[in-house]
Amino acid sequence: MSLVKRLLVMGLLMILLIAYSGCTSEKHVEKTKIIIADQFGLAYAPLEVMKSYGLLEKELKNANLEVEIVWQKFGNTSSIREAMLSGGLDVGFVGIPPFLIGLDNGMDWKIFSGLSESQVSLIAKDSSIDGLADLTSEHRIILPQPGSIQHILLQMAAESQLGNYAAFDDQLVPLSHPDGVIAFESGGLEQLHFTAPPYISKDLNVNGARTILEGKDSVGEDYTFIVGICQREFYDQKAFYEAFKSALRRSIEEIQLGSDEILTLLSEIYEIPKDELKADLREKTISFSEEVKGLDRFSEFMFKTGTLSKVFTVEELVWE
Amino acid sequence: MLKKPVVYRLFFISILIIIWELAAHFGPYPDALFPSLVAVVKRLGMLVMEEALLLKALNSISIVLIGMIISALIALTLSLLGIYLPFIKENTKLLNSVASPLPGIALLPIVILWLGLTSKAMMLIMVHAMLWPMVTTLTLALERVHFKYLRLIKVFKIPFWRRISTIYLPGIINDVFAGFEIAWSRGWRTLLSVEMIFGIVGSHSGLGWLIYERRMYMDTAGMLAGLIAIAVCGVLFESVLFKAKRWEVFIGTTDLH
Repeated sequence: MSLVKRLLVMGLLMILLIAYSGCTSEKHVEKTKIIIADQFGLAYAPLEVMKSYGLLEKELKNANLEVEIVWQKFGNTSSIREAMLSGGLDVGFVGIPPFLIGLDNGMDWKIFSGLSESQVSLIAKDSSIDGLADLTSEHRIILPQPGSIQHILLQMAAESQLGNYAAFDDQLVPLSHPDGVIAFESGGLEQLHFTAPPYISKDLNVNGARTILEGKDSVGEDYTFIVGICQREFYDQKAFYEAFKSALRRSIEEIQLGSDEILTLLSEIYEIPKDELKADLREKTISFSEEVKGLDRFSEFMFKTGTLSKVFTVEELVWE
Repeated sequence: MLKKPVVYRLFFISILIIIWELAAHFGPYPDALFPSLVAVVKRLGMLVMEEALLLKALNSISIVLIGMIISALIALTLSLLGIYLPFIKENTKLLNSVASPLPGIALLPIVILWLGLTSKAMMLIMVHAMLWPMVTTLTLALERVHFKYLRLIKVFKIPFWRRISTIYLPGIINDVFAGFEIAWSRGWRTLLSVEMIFGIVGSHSGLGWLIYERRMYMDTAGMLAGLIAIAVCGVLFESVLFKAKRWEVFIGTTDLH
């Protein structure tokens, strides 16, 4: 075959390939399942309630929608982001900063609801440490991932206390919360763990462990820890979207009522004593609400540090 | 005139580039999934200039090389001793058959439990990844040389150290480089996966960490740039540095065979 012929064949193949990929994306597919992703921690408790009580199933049935519901648990937000981007997820629950990073990189997604406010603490075992200023370059900070809410909270505190937001950026150890607890328990004094309930109390059981930084102090105001997000595609399927929103609202209300049954369920799932859970809810160590707080603060800070290319308005961040 | 294979390769690469660019520009994929090559090359340039990509690459390479030297010394000792001490020979074989199929990354969780998130843990995994292929190659090579020159050694009563320096070492030098080559490719892959999954290298300066971090910031062009850097390092080492034939010229040991 001459070179010209070969080139022609290649060209034809290319055109076919591109035409094919164009077709598949425009084909309308009837919705057969809703895929929902959450992560590890008590902050996702309403979703456990929704799952155990079948609340979403009830809402879908009321709206005469028949779809399969798939629950997935991820160790960090970037996998949620990627799964959503490649079409494998409808609804995800993440911290505000990773959501902003996705939006800034062109993802067509917004927040549809808040989920929880929570204590987030940096815990140290080294008795010579009282605050960030005492950390040396030998210390390692375990948190879920760079760009996670824990990382941005650390940057905020580093900026206000030391004047350098990037002071600890080279000392991060990315591990999911459960793996982080194991590493923190078995590791040396140089390790610190930035985590959330129920992992805070597990860490604090370690000899000499104590909190040296609270998320609220870094931000300086109330903020939502976890938000619910979805892409435009899911938002446009109004019946499904509304059904999910009301199921979430009911799940949050159930926890707010705090019946004994709910407490038992959650204490079994998260393996924490019921009294401790009760105290956490009473003292608002963790609380659940649809309201979203603190968006401006994160958006402005992350723009200032160069993580975001612009400051987002609330309309750009929330679906309605 | 360029030689035919070169023309074929250039032709194939340009076809790939054209398909990629067309898909990036006209395909239905968002930029975050499928950035254009121009964006990737730009990002690669930026990473080299601003974030010391070369330093990161050197860092990764030096970890593999240190691990390789340690493994080579252990492997050489084990296989030399194995010639005269059947106890060591048998148990090296046993360990080799048990440990060799275990990927380094599979050991990581247990190593973290024992040694914490330290560079010691990293080195242990690297040595594990590289030691066994070297042990296999060296043991086979030494056995071959040993039986080939067995009568010579007996007849001339060559002393132990002379046997090592004049018969064994020159006889196995090619296999040592072949072993290095296999060890390098195993070590390099292990290092990158360890860096990517756990990011445990203290200073976060490896190429695996670079890709991991770029992923967290959803910088797909940066991830692809990191992949290009990894591929370039891999090609440089695997097809240039560890090709035993190139070394024979310098060492001049081929007369033994």
